Amino acid sequence: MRSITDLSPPSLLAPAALAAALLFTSGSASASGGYPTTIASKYGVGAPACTLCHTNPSGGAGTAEQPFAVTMKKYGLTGNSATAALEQALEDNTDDSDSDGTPDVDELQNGGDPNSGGAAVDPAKYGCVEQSNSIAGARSSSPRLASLAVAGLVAGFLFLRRRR
Amino acid sequence: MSNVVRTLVTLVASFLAVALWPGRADAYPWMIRHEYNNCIACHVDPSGGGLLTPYGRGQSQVLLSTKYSNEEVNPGKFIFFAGFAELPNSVNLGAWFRTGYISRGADATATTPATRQGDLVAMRYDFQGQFTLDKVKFNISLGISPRNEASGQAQGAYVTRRLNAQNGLQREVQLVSREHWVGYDVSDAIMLRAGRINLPFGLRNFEHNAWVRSSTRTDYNTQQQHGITASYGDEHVRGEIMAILGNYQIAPDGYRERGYSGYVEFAVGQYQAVGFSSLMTYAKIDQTGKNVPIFRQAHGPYTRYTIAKPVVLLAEVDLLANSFQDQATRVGWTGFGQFDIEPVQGVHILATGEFLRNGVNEFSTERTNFGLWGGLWWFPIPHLDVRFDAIRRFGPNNYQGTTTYLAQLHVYL
Repeated sequence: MRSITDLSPPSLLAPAALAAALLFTSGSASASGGYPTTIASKYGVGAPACTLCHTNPSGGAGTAEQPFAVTMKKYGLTGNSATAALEQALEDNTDDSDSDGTPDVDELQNGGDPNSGGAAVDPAKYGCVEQSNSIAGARSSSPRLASLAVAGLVAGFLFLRRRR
Repeated sequence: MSNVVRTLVTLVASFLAVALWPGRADAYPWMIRHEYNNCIACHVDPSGGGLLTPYGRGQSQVLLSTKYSNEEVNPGKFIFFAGFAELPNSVNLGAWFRTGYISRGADATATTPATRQGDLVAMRYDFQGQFTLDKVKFNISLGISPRNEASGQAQGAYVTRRLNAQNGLQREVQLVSREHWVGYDVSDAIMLRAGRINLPFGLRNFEHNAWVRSSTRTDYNTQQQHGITASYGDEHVRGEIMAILGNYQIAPDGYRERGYSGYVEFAVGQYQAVGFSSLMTYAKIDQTGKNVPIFRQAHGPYTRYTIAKPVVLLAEVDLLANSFQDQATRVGWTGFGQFDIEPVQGVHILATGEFLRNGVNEFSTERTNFGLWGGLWWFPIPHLDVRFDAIRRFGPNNYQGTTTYLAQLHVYL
Protein backbone atom coordinates (compact mmCIF):
# COMPACT_ATOMS: atom_id res chain seq x y z
CA MET A 1 0.00 0.00 0.00
CA ARG A 2 1.22 3.47 -0.80
CA SER A 3 2.16 5.66 2.07
CA ILE A 4 0.34 8.91 2.40
CA THR A 5 3.66 10.62 1.85
CA ASP A 6 3.80 9.11 -1.61
CA LEU A 7 0.86 11.13 -2.70
CA SER A 8 2.14 13.80 -5.01
CA PRO A 9 0.39 17.10 -5.59
CA PRO A 10 -0.98 15.98 -8.97
CA SER A 11 -2.90 13.36 -7.03
CA LEU A 12 -5.04 16.22 -5.96
CA LEU A 13 -5.86 17.24 -9.50
CA ALA A 14 -8.38 14.47 -10.08
CA PRO A 15 -10.67 15.48 -7.21
CA ALA A 16 -10.02 19.09 -8.08
CA ALA A 17 -11.13 18.42 -11.63
CA LEU A 18 -14.25 16.70 -10.31
CA ALA A 19 -14.96 19.67 -8.15
CA ALA A 20 -14.37 21.96 -11.10
CA ALA A 21 -16.90 20.00 -13.09
CA LEU A 22 -19.42 20.52 -10.35
CA LEU A 23 -18.70 24.23 -10.44
CA PHE A 24 -20.40 24.66 -13.77
CA THR A 25 -23.59 22.99 -12.68
CA SER A 26 -23.88 24.25 -9.13
CA GLY A 27 -26.93 26.23 -8.21
CA SER A 28 -27.73 28.47 -5.34
CA ALA A 29 -27.66 27.46 -1.70
CA SER A 30 -31.03 28.99 -1.06
CA ALA A 31 -33.55 27.13 1.07
CA SER A 32 -36.31 28.48 -1.13
CA GLY A 33 -34.45 30.32 -3.85
CA GLY A 34 -37.32 30.17 -6.35
CA TYR A 35 -39.66 32.27 -4.24
CA PRO A 36 -38.16 35.73 -4.94
CA THR A 37 -38.16 35.02 -8.67
CA THR A 38 -41.77 33.87 -8.59
CA ILE A 39 -42.97 36.95 -6.71
CA ALA A 40 -40.94 39.27 -8.94
CA SER A 41 -42.36 37.82 -12.13
CA LYS A 42 -45.91 37.49 -10.80
CA TYR A 43 -46.23 41.12 -9.75
CA GLY A 44 -43.67 42.75 -12.01
CA VAL A 45 -41.68 44.10 -9.09
CA GLY A 46 -38.13 43.74 -7.92
CA ALA A 47 -37.22 40.51 -6.21
CA PRO A 48 -37.94 40.78 -2.50
CA ALA A 49 -35.23 40.21 0.07
CA CYS A 50 -35.03 37.03 2.14
CA THR A 51 -36.41 39.03 5.02
CA LEU A 52 -39.83 39.16 3.41
CA CYS A 53 -40.25 35.78 5.10
CA HIS A 54 -37.13 35.18 7.19
CA THR A 55 -36.05 36.92 10.36
CA ASN A 56 -32.44 36.46 9.34
CA PRO A 57 -31.00 38.43 6.42
CA SER A 58 -29.39 35.25 5.11
CA GLY A 59 -32.58 33.23 5.40
CA GLY A 60 -32.26 29.65 6.56
CA ALA A 61 -34.43 26.96 8.11
CA GLY A 62 -36.24 27.88 11.29
CA THR A 63 -36.16 31.61 10.55
CA ALA A 64 -39.23 31.99 8.31
CA GLU A 65 -41.08 33.68 11.16
CA GLN A 66 -41.99 37.05 9.71
CA PRO A 67 -45.74 37.83 9.97
CA PHE A 68 -46.14 37.43 6.22
CA ALA A 69 -44.43 34.02 6.32
CA VAL A 70 -46.70 32.89 9.13
CA THR A 71 -49.70 33.95 7.08
CA MET A 72 -48.44 32.21 3.96
CA LYS A 73 -47.78 29.00 5.86
CA LYS A 74 -51.38 29.13 7.01
CA TYR A 75 -52.33 29.07 3.33
CA GLY A 76 -50.21 26.00 2.63
CA LEU A 77 -46.80 27.41 1.74
CA THR A 78 -43.86 25.10 2.36
CA GLY A 79 -40.24 26.12 2.60
CA ASN A 80 -39.07 23.93 -0.21
CA SER A 81 -39.07 26.00 -3.37
CA ALA A 82 -42.50 24.60 -4.22
CA THR A 83 -43.53 27.45 -6.49
CA ALA A 84 -46.93 25.95 -7.19
CA ALA A 85 -47.70 26.11 -3.46
CA LEU A 86 -46.49 29.72 -3.41
CA GLU A 87 -48.68 30.66 -6.35
CA GLN A 88 -51.69 29.06 -4.71
CA ALA A 89 -50.99 30.65 -1.32
CA LEU A 90 -50.70 34.07 -2.95
CA GLU A 91 -54.04 33.52 -4.67
CA ASP A 92 -55.70 32.47 -1.42
CA ASN A 93 -54.11 35.04 0.87
CA THR A 94 -56.60 37.78 1.76
CA ASP A 95 -54.97 38.64 5.08
CA ASP A 96 -53.34 41.84 6.23
CA SER A 97 -50.39 40.49 8.22
CA ASP A 98 -49.23 43.84 9.58
CA SER A 99 -52.76 45.18 10.19
CA ASP A 100 -52.06 48.43 8.37
CA GLY A 101 -55.27 48.31 6.37
CA THR A 102 -53.69 47.12 3.12
CA PRO A 103 -53.88 43.43 2.27
CA ASP A 104 -50.59 41.57 1.89
CA VAL A 105 -50.97 40.93 -1.83
CA ASP A 106 -51.76 44.58 -2.54
CA GLU A 107 -48.64 45.59 -0.67
CA LEU A 108 -46.54 43.17 -2.69
CA GLN A 109 -47.99 44.47 -5.93
CA ASN A 110 -47.17 48.03 -4.88
CA GLY A 111 -43.64 47.13 -3.88
CA GLY A 112 -44.50 47.54 -0.21
CA ASP A 113 -43.70 45.44 2.81
CA PRO A 114 -46.54 43.29 4.16
CA ASN A 115 -44.66 42.90 7.45
CA SER A 116 -44.60 46.53 8.51
CA GLY A 117 -46.93 49.37 7.78
CA GLY A 118 -45.89 52.57 6.13
CA ALA A 119 -43.64 53.27 3.21
CA ALA A 120 -41.26 50.61 2.05
CA VAL A 121 -37.60 51.25 2.68
CA ASP A 122 -34.92 50.97 0.06
CA PRO A 123 -33.90 47.34 -0.05
CA ALA A 124 -30.35 46.51 0.91
CA LYS A 125 -27.95 46.46 -2.02
CA TYR A 126 -25.05 44.07 -1.98
CA GLY A 127 -21.73 44.73 -3.68
CA CYS A 128 -19.93 47.91 -4.60
CA VAL A 129 -19.47 47.87 -8.35
CA GLU A 130 -22.82 48.01 -10.09
CA GLN A 131 -23.27 46.22 -13.40
CA SER A 132 -26.33 45.11 -15.29
CA ASN A 133 -26.46 42.11 -17.58
CA SER A 134 -29.17 40.42 -19.54
CA ILE A 135 -30.06 36.87 -18.62
CA ALA A 136 -28.72 35.57 -21.93
CA GLY A 137 -25.48 37.43 -21.58
CA ALA A 138 -24.90 36.22 -18.06
CA ARG A 139 -25.55 32.62 -18.90
CA SER A 140 -23.14 32.66 -21.78
CA SER A 141 -20.34 34.55 -20.07
CA SER A 142 -20.29 32.96 -16.62
CA PRO A 143 -19.14 29.45 -17.60
CA ARG A 144 -16.50 30.90 -19.89
CA LEU A 145 -15.03 33.03 -17.14
CA ALA A 146 -15.03 30.12 -14.71
CA SER A 147 -13.53 27.79 -17.32
CA LEU A 148 -10.71 30.20 -18.02
CA ALA A 149 -10.01 30.62 -14.32
CA VAL A 150 -9.85 26.90 -13.63
CA ALA A 151 -7.82 26.19 -16.78
CA GLY A 152 -5.35 28.89 -15.79
CA LEU A 153 -5.07 27.50 -12.30
CA VAL A 154 -4.37 23.95 -13.49
CA ALA A 155 -1.88 25.15 -16.11
CA GLY A 156 -0.05 27.20 -13.52
CA PHE A 157 0.19 24.27 -11.16
CA LEU A 158 1.50 21.97 -13.87
CA PHE A 159 4.05 24.57 -14.97
CA LEU A 160 5.34 25.04 -11.47
CA ARG A 161 5.40 21.30 -10.93
CA ARG A 162 7.49 20.75 -14.08
CA ARG A 163 10.02 23.37 -13.04
CA ARG A 164 10.77 21.65 -9.72
CA MET B 1 -41.62 36.56 32.16
CA SER B 2 -40.78 34.24 35.04
CA ASN B 3 -40.88 31.32 32.62
CA VAL B 4 -38.28 33.10 30.51
CA VAL B 5 -36.00 33.57 33.48
CA ARG B 6 -36.42 29.97 34.60
CA THR B 7 -35.62 28.72 31.12
CA LEU B 8 -32.55 30.88 30.86
CA VAL B 9 -31.28 29.81 34.27
CA THR B 10 -31.76 26.19 33.26
CA LEU B 11 -29.88 26.71 30.00
CA VAL B 12 -26.97 28.46 31.66
CA ALA B 13 -26.79 25.92 34.50
CA SER B 14 -26.82 23.06 32.00
CA PHE B 15 -24.06 24.67 30.03
CA LEU B 16 -21.91 25.26 33.09
CA ALA B 17 -22.46 21.72 34.30
CA VAL B 18 -21.09 20.39 31.05
CA ALA B 19 -18.38 22.97 30.64
CA LEU B 20 -16.91 22.61 34.11
CA TRP B 21 -17.09 18.83 34.33
CA PRO B 22 -13.47 17.82 35.00
CA GLY B 23 -11.65 16.47 31.96
CA ARG B 24 -9.57 13.34 31.78
CA ALA B 25 -5.84 13.74 31.58
CA ASP B 26 -5.37 11.33 28.70
CA ALA B 27 -7.34 13.30 26.15
CA TYR B 28 -6.56 15.69 23.33
CA PRO B 29 -8.52 18.77 22.22
CA TRP B 30 -10.10 18.74 18.73
CA MET B 31 -7.95 20.73 16.25
CA ILE B 32 -5.68 21.81 19.07
CA ARG B 33 -5.37 18.31 20.40
CA HIS B 34 -1.61 18.50 20.25
CA GLU B 35 -1.41 20.93 23.14
CA TYR B 36 -2.07 24.09 21.18
CA ASN B 37 -4.28 26.42 23.16
CA ASN B 38 -4.57 29.11 20.55
CA CYS B 39 -5.04 29.34 16.79
CA ILE B 40 -2.21 31.60 15.70
CA ALA B 41 0.28 28.80 15.08
CA CYS B 42 -1.80 27.33 12.28
CA HIS B 43 -3.94 30.25 11.05
CA VAL B 44 -3.03 33.79 10.08
CA ASP B 45 -6.27 34.94 11.73
CA PRO B 46 -5.51 35.05 15.45
CA SER B 47 -9.02 33.78 16.20
CA GLY B 48 -8.72 30.88 13.78
CA GLY B 49 -10.18 29.77 10.49
CA GLY B 50 -9.25 30.65 6.96
CA LEU B 51 -5.75 30.96 5.56
CA LEU B 52 -3.24 28.52 7.02
CA THR B 53 0.31 29.31 7.96
CA PRO B 54 2.95 27.04 6.37
CA TYR B 55 3.17 25.30 9.73
CA GLY B 56 -0.58 24.86 9.87
CA ARG B 57 -0.58 23.53 6.32
CA GLY B 58 1.96 20.92 7.35
CA GLN B 59 0.05 20.06 10.49
CA SER B 60 -3.12 19.58 8.47
CA GLN B 61 -1.37 16.67 6.75
CA VAL B 62 0.09 15.24 9.93
CA LEU B 63 -2.99 15.60 12.11
CA LEU B 64 -6.06 15.69 9.88
CA SER B 65 -5.62 13.14 7.11
CA THR B 66 -6.09 9.41 7.45
CA LYS B 67 -2.82 7.53 7.88
CA TYR B 68 -2.53 4.37 5.81
CA SER B 69 0.69 3.05 7.34
CA ASN B 70 2.71 3.36 10.49
CA GLU B 71 5.39 5.37 8.75
CA GLU B 72 5.99 8.76 10.23
CA VAL B 73 4.37 11.47 8.16
CA ASN B 74 6.68 14.15 6.88
CA PRO B 75 4.74 17.21 5.78
CA GLY B 76 7.72 18.21 3.61
CA LYS B 77 6.72 19.98 0.48
CA PHE B 78 3.07 20.21 1.43
CA ILE B 79 3.80 23.20 3.60
CA PHE B 80 4.37 25.27 0.45
CA PHE B 81 1.01 25.79 -1.19
CA ALA B 82 0.39 22.03 -1.25
CA GLY B 83 3.73 21.36 -2.91
CA PHE B 84 3.05 23.24 -6.10
CA ALA B 85 5.13 26.26 -5.39
CA GLU B 86 7.86 27.12 -2.96
CA LEU B 87 6.90 30.62 -2.02
CA PRO B 88 9.01 33.36 -0.44
CA ASN B 89 8.62 33.58 3.31
CA SER B 90 6.83 36.88 2.94
CA VAL B 91 4.09 35.39 0.74
CA ASN B 92 1.37 33.01 1.87
CA LEU B 93 -1.32 31.72 -0.47
CA GLY B 94 -4.32 29.52 0.03
CA ALA B 95 -7.33 28.37 -1.94
CA TRP B 96 -10.67 26.72 -1.19
CA PHE B 97 -13.05 24.81 -3.36
CA ARG B 98 -16.15 23.62 -1.54
CA THR B 99 -19.14 22.31 -3.39
CA GLY B 100 -21.89 19.84 -2.70
CA TYR B 101 -25.31 18.40 -3.29
CA ILE B 102 -28.24 19.25 -1.05
CA SER B 103 -31.56 17.45 -0.86
CA ARG B 104 -34.23 19.35 1.06
CA GLY B 105 -37.46 17.84 2.24
CA ALA B 106 -40.46 19.28 4.06
CA ASP B 107 -42.95 17.20 6.02
CA ALA B 108 -46.51 16.83 4.86
CA THR B 109 -49.11 19.03 6.51
CA ALA B 110 -52.87 18.77 6.75
CA THR B 111 -53.17 20.64 3.46
CA THR B 112 -49.91 19.93 1.59
CA PRO B 113 -48.03 16.76 0.69
CA ALA B 114 -44.44 16.12 1.67
CA THR B 115 -41.97 17.62 -0.77
CA ARG B 116 -38.32 17.07 -1.60
CA GLN B 117 -35.95 18.81 -3.97
CA GLY B 118 -32.25 18.41 -4.74
CA ASP B 119 -29.69 20.90 -6.01
CA LEU B 120 -26.00 21.13 -6.65
CA VAL B 121 -24.66 23.87 -4.44
CA ALA B 122 -21.79 26.26 -4.96
CA MET B 123 -20.31 26.97 -1.55
CA ARG B 124 -16.89 28.54 -1.62
CA TYR B 125 -14.49 29.17 -4.48
CA ASP B 126 -11.88 31.49 -3.01
CA PHE B 127 -8.22 32.39 -3.10
CA GLN B 128 -6.61 34.14 -0.18
CA GLY B 129 -3.19 35.66 0.05
CA GLN B 130 -1.09 37.41 2.61
CA PHE B 131 2.04 39.50 2.15
CA THR B 132 4.17 40.16 5.21
CA LEU B 133 6.49 43.12 5.45
CA ASP B 134 8.27 42.91 8.80
CA LYS B 135 5.47 43.37 11.36
CA VAL B 136 2.87 44.49 8.86
CA LYS B 137 0.58 42.01 7.10
CA PHE B 138 -1.62 42.59 4.08
CA ASN B 139 -4.34 40.00 3.67
CA ILE B 140 -7.04 39.64 1.02
CA SER B 141 -9.44 36.96 -0.14
CA LEU B 142 -11.07 36.96 -3.55
CA GLY B 143 -13.45 34.46 -5.02
CA ILE B 144 -16.54 33.96 -7.07
CA SER B 145 -20.11 33.20 -6.12
CA PRO B 146 -21.57 31.49 -9.15
CA ARG B 147 -25.23 31.73 -10.06
CA ASN B 148 -26.25 32.77 -6.61
CA GLU B 149 -29.95 33.42 -6.81
CA ALA B 150 -30.71 35.87 -4.04
CA SER B 151 -29.89 33.08 -1.64
CA GLY B 152 -28.24 35.32 0.85
CA GLN B 153 -25.55 32.75 1.41
CA ALA B 154 -22.73 34.93 0.12
CA GLN B 155 -24.33 38.23 -0.76
CA GLY B 156 -22.93 40.04 2.27
CA ALA B 157 -19.47 39.55 0.76
CA TYR B 158 -20.28 40.61 -2.80
CA VAL B 159 -17.88 43.05 -4.40
CA THR B 160 -19.72 43.31 -7.71
CA ARG B 161 -23.42 44.03 -8.02
CA ARG B 162 -24.30 42.39 -11.30
CA LEU B 163 -28.05 42.69 -11.67
CA ASN B 164 -30.23 40.73 -13.95
CA ALA B 165 -31.78 43.33 -16.23
CA GLN B 166 -35.12 41.58 -16.39
CA ASN B 167 -35.96 40.90 -12.76
CA GLY B 168 -33.38 42.74 -10.72
CA LEU B 169 -32.04 39.58 -9.12
CA GLN B 170 -28.33 39.26 -8.51
CA ARG B 171 -28.38 35.99 -10.37
CA GLU B 172 -24.97 36.42 -11.94
CA VAL B 173 -21.45 35.36 -11.16
CA GLN B 174 -20.37 37.76 -8.46
CA LEU B 175 -16.88 38.59 -7.26
CA VAL B 176 -16.71 38.16 -3.50
CA SER B 177 -14.21 39.23 -0.90
CA ARG B 178 -14.82 37.83 2.53
CA GLU B 179 -11.70 39.24 4.14
CA HIS B 180 -9.31 42.06 3.39
CA TRP B 181 -7.31 43.60 6.15
CA VAL B 182 -4.02 45.09 7.24
CA GLY B 183 -2.50 43.77 10.44
CA TYR B 184 0.32 44.87 12.71
CA ASP B 185 2.11 42.59 15.15
CA VAL B 186 2.61 44.65 18.27
CA SER B 187 4.27 41.65 19.90
CA ASP B 188 4.16 37.87 19.66
CA ALA B 189 0.89 37.94 21.59
CA ILE B 190 -0.81 41.13 20.45
CA MET B 191 -2.02 41.98 16.97
CA LEU B 192 -3.98 44.93 15.63
CA ARG B 193 -6.01 44.69 12.42
CA ALA B 194 -8.17 46.96 10.31
CA GLY B 195 -10.36 45.96 7.39
CA ARG B 196 -13.05 43.39 6.67
CA ILE B 197 -12.59 40.80 9.37
CA ASN B 198 -14.35 37.77 10.82
CA LEU B 199 -16.42 38.84 13.79
CA PRO B 200 -14.75 37.54 16.94
CA PHE B 201 -17.60 35.68 18.60
CA GLY B 202 -18.24 32.15 19.84
CA LEU B 203 -17.13 28.93 18.22
CA ARG B 204 -15.51 29.46 14.87
CA ASN B 205 -16.73 26.37 13.07
CA PHE B 206 -17.55 25.26 9.57
CA GLU B 207 -21.29 25.06 10.22
CA HIS B 208 -22.16 28.57 9.12
CA ASN B 209 -25.82 27.58 8.88
CA ALA B 210 -25.89 26.52 12.52
CA TRP B 211 -28.32 28.71 14.40
CA VAL B 212 -25.68 30.02 16.82
CA ARG B 213 -23.87 31.47 13.82
CA SER B 214 -26.77 32.66 11.68
CA SER B 215 -28.86 34.18 14.48
CA THR B 216 -25.90 36.08 15.93
CA ARG B 217 -24.77 37.00 12.40
CA THR B 218 -21.23 35.89 13.12
CA ASP B 219 -20.56 33.16 10.60
CA TYR B 220 -17.27 33.28 8.74
CA ASN B 221 -18.78 32.40 5.40
CA THR B 222 -20.09 35.86 4.61
CA GLN B 223 -20.91 37.88 7.73
CA GLN B 224 -17.58 39.57 8.22
CA GLN B 225 -17.70 43.31 8.80
CA HIS B 226 -15.34 46.22 8.41
CA GLY B 227 -13.73 47.42 11.58
CA ILE B 228 -10.70 47.48 13.82
CA THR B 229 -9.64 44.64 16.09
CA ALA B 230 -7.14 43.98 18.83
CA SER B 231 -6.29 40.40 19.68
CA TYR B 232 -4.26 38.74 22.39
CA GLY B 233 -3.19 35.14 22.71
CA ASP B 234 -0.89 33.11 24.91
CA GLU B 235 -1.04 29.56 26.20
CA HIS B 236 -3.51 30.43 28.96
CA VAL B 237 -5.85 33.02 27.55
CA ARG B 238 -6.83 34.43 24.19
CA GLY B 239 -9.35 36.96 23.02
CA GLU B 240 -10.21 39.53 20.43
CA ILE B 241 -12.30 42.67 20.52
CA MET B 242 -13.58 44.41 17.41
CA ALA B 243 -14.95 47.89 16.88
CA ILE B 244 -17.52 47.25 14.15
CA LEU B 245 -17.76 50.10 11.65
CA GLY B 246 -20.23 48.36 9.35
CA ASN B 247 -20.17 46.14 6.31
CA TYR B 248 -19.27 48.54 3.53
CA GLN B 249 -20.24 45.96 0.91
CA ILE B 250 -23.89 46.64 1.81
CA ALA B 251 -25.75 49.85 0.96
CA PRO B 252 -27.42 52.13 1.85
CA ASP B 253 -25.60 53.14 4.98
CA GLY B 254 -28.66 52.66 7.18
CA TYR B 255 -28.23 48.90 6.99
CA ARG B 256 -24.68 49.00 8.35
CA GLU B 257 -24.29 47.88 11.92
CA ARG B 258 -21.97 49.71 14.29
CA GLY B 259 -20.89 48.47 17.67
CA TYR B 260 -18.57 45.85 19.04
CA SER B 261 -18.02 42.11 19.10
CA GLY B 262 -15.54 40.17 21.15
CA TYR B 263 -14.68 37.11 23.15
CA VAL B 264 -12.28 35.99 25.81
CA GLU B 265 -11.28 32.37 26.21
CA PHE B 266 -9.42 30.66 29.02
CA ALA B 267 -7.61 27.37 28.88
CA VAL B 268 -8.86 25.16 31.69
CA GLY B 269 -6.02 22.75 32.18
CA GLN B 270 -4.62 21.24 29.02
CA TYR B 271 -7.71 19.81 27.44
CA GLN B 272 -10.51 22.32 27.79
CA ALA B 273 -11.18 25.91 26.93
CA VAL B 274 -14.07 28.03 28.17
CA GLY B 275 -14.96 31.34 26.63
CA PHE B 276 -17.52 34.11 26.74
CA SER B 277 -18.64 36.23 23.81
CA SER B 278 -20.49 39.51 23.61
CA LEU B 279 -21.86 41.59 20.77
CA MET B 280 -23.81 44.84 20.58
CA THR B 281 -24.67 46.66 17.38
CA TYR B 282 -26.91 49.49 16.25
CA ALA B 283 -28.32 50.03 12.75
CA LYS B 284 -30.78 52.61 11.45
CA ILE B 285 -32.56 49.98 9.36
CA ASP B 286 -32.73 46.41 10.50
CA GLN B 287 -31.84 43.76 7.97
CA THR B 288 -34.76 41.67 9.15
CA GLY B 289 -36.97 44.02 7.19
CA LYS B 290 -38.39 46.10 10.01
CA ASN B 291 -38.17 49.73 8.96
CA VAL B 292 -36.98 50.96 12.34
CA PRO B 293 -33.63 51.36 14.07
CA ILE B 294 -32.48 48.32 15.98
CA PHE B 295 -30.14 47.76 18.87
CA ARG B 296 -29.04 44.13 18.66
CA GLN B 297 -27.30 42.09 21.33
CA ALA B 298 -25.92 38.56 21.70
CA HIS B 299 -24.07 37.29 24.73
CA GLY B 300 -23.10 33.83 25.85
CA PRO B 301 -20.54 31.23 26.91
CA TYR B 302 -18.97 28.46 24.90
CA THR B 303 -16.59 25.61 25.47
CA ARG B 304 -14.33 23.16 23.70
CA TYR B 305 -14.02 20.14 25.90
CA THR B 306 -12.18 16.88 25.38
CA ILE B 307 -14.17 14.15 27.08
CA ALA B 308 -11.95 11.28 26.04
CA LYS B 309 -9.18 11.04 23.47
CA PRO B 310 -11.39 10.62 20.41
CA VAL B 311 -14.38 12.57 21.72
CA VAL B 312 -14.57 16.35 21.82
CA LEU B 313 -17.59 18.44 22.76
CA LEU B 314 -18.12 21.87 21.24
CA ALA B 315 -20.93 23.80 22.93
CA GLU B 316 -22.26 27.34 22.82
CA VAL B 317 -25.30 29.06 24.29
CA ASP B 318 -26.26 32.65 23.45
CA LEU B 319 -28.92 35.03 24.65
CA LEU B 320 -30.38 37.16 21.87
CA ALA B 321 -31.96 40.55 22.45
CA ASN B 322 -33.41 42.82 19.77
CA SER B 323 -34.60 46.30 20.69
CA PHE B 324 -36.61 47.91 17.91
CA GLN B 325 -37.36 51.59 18.25
CA ASP B 326 -40.49 52.32 20.30
CA GLN B 327 -40.99 48.66 21.09
CA ALA B 328 -40.15 46.46 24.03
CA THR B 329 -36.98 44.42 23.75
CA ARG B 330 -37.58 41.00 22.22
CA VAL B 331 -35.67 38.13 23.77
CA GLY B 332 -34.60 34.87 22.21
CA TRP B 333 -31.91 32.25 22.63
CA THR B 334 -29.87 29.83 20.65
CA GLY B 335 -27.62 26.91 21.47
CA PHE B 336 -25.35 24.41 19.80
CA GLY B 337 -23.76 21.20 21.05
CA GLN B 338 -21.64 18.95 18.91
CA PHE B 339 -19.83 15.74 19.74
CA ASP B 340 -16.89 15.20 17.40
CA ILE B 341 -15.83 11.57 17.54
CA GLU B 342 -12.65 10.57 15.69
CA PRO B 343 -12.30 6.77 16.01
CA VAL B 344 -9.60 6.67 13.32
CA GLN B 345 -7.44 9.61 12.34
CA GLY B 346 -9.16 11.52 9.59
CA VAL B 347 -12.60 10.01 10.13
CA HIS B 348 -15.02 12.08 12.20
CA ILE B 349 -18.51 11.16 13.34
CA LEU B 350 -20.53 14.25 14.23
CA ALA B 351 -23.58 14.31 16.47
CA THR B 352 -25.06 17.78 16.81
CA GLY B 353 -28.05 19.33 18.53
CA GLU B 354 -29.18 22.92 18.40
CA PHE B 355 -32.07 25.19 19.30
CA LEU B 356 -33.30 28.64 18.37
CA ARG B 357 -35.87 31.14 19.50
CA ASN B 358 -35.42 34.07 17.12
CA GLY B 359 -36.15 36.93 19.48
CA VAL B 360 -37.50 39.11 16.68
CA ASN B 361 -41.25 39.04 17.31
CA GLU B 362 -43.29 39.31 20.50
CA PHE B 363 -42.29 36.59 22.91
CA SER B 364 -45.67 34.93 23.06
CA THR B 365 -45.80 34.53 19.28
CA GLU B 366 -42.45 32.80 18.91
CA ARG B 367 -41.43 29.24 19.71
CA THR B 368 -38.20 27.39 20.26
CA ASN B 369 -37.17 25.33 17.26
CA PHE B 370 -34.84 22.36 17.45
CA GLY B 371 -32.34 20.76 15.13
CA LEU B 372 -30.50 17.45 15.11
CA TRP B 373 -27.54 16.83 12.82
CA GLY B 374 -25.70 13.60 12.12
CA GLY B 375 -22.56 13.74 10.04
CA LEU B 376 -19.64 11.74 8.70
CA TRP B 377 -16.52 13.67 7.76
CA TRP B 378 -13.49 12.04 6.14
CA PHE B 379 -10.09 13.47 5.25
CA PRO B 380 -8.82 10.71 2.91
CA ILE B 381 -5.76 12.54 1.58
CA PRO B 382 -4.09 15.82 2.44
CA HIS B 383 -6.00 18.91 1.43
CA LEU B 384 -9.20 17.12 0.59
CA ASP B 385 -12.19 16.09 2.65
CA VAL B 386 -15.68 14.80 2.03
CA ARG B 387 -18.63 15.16 4.36
CA PHE B 388 -22.16 13.83 4.59
CA ASP B 389 -24.81 15.33 6.85
CA ALA B 390 -28.40 14.59 7.68
CA ILE B 391 -30.17 17.53 9.31
CA ARG B 392 -33.58 17.36 10.95
CA ARG B 393 -35.15 20.60 12.10
CA PHE B 394 -38.46 20.68 13.89
CA GLY B 395 -40.55 22.60 16.40
CA PRO B 396 -43.47 22.18 18.74
CA ASN B 397 -47.15 21.96 17.89
CA ASN B 398 -47.84 21.93 14.18
CA TYR B 399 -44.46 23.19 13.05
CA GLN B 400 -43.62 21.79 9.64
CA GLY B 401 -40.35 19.91 10.07
CA THR B 402 -37.63 19.70 7.44
CA THR B 403 -35.09 17.01 6.71
CA THR B 404 -32.02 17.89 4.70
CA TYR B 405 -29.28 15.68 3.33
CA LEU B 406 -26.03 17.30 2.33
CA ALA B 407 -22.91 15.91 0.64
CA GLN B 408 -19.84 18.13 0.40
CA LEU B 409 -16.51 17.95 -1.37
CA HIS B 410 -13.82 20.28 -0.12
CA VAL B 411 -10.40 20.83 -1.67
CA TYR B 412 -8.09 23.35 -0.09
CA LEU B 413 -4.50 24.41 -0.58
